[in-house]
Amino acid sequence: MLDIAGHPFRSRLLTGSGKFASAGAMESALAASGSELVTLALKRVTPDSAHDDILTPVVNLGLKILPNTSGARTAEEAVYAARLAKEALKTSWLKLEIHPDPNYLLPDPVETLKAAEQLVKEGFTVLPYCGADPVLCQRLAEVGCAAVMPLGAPIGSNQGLKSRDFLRIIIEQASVPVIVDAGIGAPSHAAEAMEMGADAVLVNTAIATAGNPSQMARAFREAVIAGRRAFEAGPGAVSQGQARASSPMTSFLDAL
Amino acid sequence: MQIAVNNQECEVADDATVSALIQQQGINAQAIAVAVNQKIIHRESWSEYHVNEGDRVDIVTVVAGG
Repeated sequence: MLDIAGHPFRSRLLTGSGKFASAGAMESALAASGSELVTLALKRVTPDSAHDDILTPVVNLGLKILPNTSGARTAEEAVYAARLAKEALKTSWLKLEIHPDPNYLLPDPVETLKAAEQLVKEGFTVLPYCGADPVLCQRLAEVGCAAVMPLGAPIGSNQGLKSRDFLRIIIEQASVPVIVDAGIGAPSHAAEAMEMGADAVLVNTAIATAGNPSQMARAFREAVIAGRRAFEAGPGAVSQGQARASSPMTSFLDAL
Repeated sequence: MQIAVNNQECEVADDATVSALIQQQGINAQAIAVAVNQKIIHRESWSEYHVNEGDRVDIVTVVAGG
């Protein structure tokens, strides 16, 4: 069972709540995903604006909430956003994300490490979104992050595990759960991450923007289960070059 | 007196509390957080905390996000 900061999760599929066409579509898809942890974001309230009731479906499904710091460009902004999130949602769990670059939304490693250290000191359970940098992931674990969330590819790109070689190193060296976040665009990508030994994956865009989000959520749920089972089963060795027969090469037909 | 709420200038009564401000702005108070000059004002203190001239108030809520 997945364990993050002493909290057990039966599902290794974490989900995001963004980009769904409606709250109803989100609720159905999250239910179909089997996910137990969902991310939310913060925004400034505008006077007399309609209240987006994002919480009701999440609460109905009994999901644990993981607020993010999306929009923060510096450690200082992220720490402030984290404090606001904690006050608004009464949770100290946090997806720390600091991406000042508006084109690729790549996380700033220096600001992320700085903010993570501060937030851990303040008692937050910090899950940082970060580049697929093994050294950075080790540093984030050392300052007390509860997990690391290295990217597969840029956020929302659906490109899959472009960073796979570095993810392998991160998984090999990890002392905290590794959750592959961002870029996972198809169930096969999620299965690949799980087969590699990732502890979990976080998927949002690929489910929310699918033609049928509920069906896609179910497909991701099954892929994550299959990938994890394959990892636990221990994949056979890969050989290069010549074939290796899987049937006995007996000469029982020679006499004909 | 003048204060700024989410970067918008606004006029409030001289003795306005955070609770009064939320009411005046017509904001649904469920799952929101309030900070005055970037200091979080906890929900249980809203009715006692008075804002001052020139204060910068941030009020945030929860939205969908990944």
